[in-house]
Amino acid sequence: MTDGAQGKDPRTSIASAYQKAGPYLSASWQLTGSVGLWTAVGYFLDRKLHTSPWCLLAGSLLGLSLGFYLFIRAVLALGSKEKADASGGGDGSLKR
Amino acid sequence: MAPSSDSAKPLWGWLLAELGVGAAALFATGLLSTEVQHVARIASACAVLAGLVSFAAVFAGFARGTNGLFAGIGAGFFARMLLLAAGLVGSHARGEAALAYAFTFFAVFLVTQSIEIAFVLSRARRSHSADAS
Repeated sequence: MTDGAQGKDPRTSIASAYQKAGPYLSASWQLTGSVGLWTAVGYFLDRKLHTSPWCLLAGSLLGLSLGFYLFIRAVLALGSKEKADASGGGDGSLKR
Repeated sequence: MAPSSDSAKPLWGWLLAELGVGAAALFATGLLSTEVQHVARIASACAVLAGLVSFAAVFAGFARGTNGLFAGIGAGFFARMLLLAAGLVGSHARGEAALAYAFTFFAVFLVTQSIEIAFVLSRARRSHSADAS
């Protein structure tokens, strides 16, 4: 590893980029998972109750709403964590 | 930090990315079976339209600080809900076709949402570096 005077190791910068993007990716996956799950539930309810496409529509909207709620909550938690890091000092990387 | 004329130029790149996603999605619907092609095209069109409305709302909100940004994200969310429902009801999709509609809509939605997140992150980074210098 060449951490020092030789310049940035590309592997370190890739790892750092993944570390920074990780919380946003996880928030996005919460949104995706919620939408996918509730849409599937709506689809199977439609098949069972012969109500197509109303249960699927309701499931999609529910999944979208729940996913957005989780997404916004995750982003807000991330923002407050960054703020706390910036006010408390830290490693000096990407501070607001 | 109101959007200035020099910041308007890179905006075209983001809008072109959203439209490119729409074009790619419309092209990809050609790979689907003929029964669901029509529905998938409506879903792509609705999702891209919702993405453009949402992007415009986020762009307008970004200039008004954190509350404005969240208002923009909220407006985009309601636009997506509305267009999802309108497209599904308007396309008269039932059964498998309705599932294809939802799948196409959410696939395009995920990409356009990622473009929005990338836009917000890049603008935030730019304004932080401008504040620092």
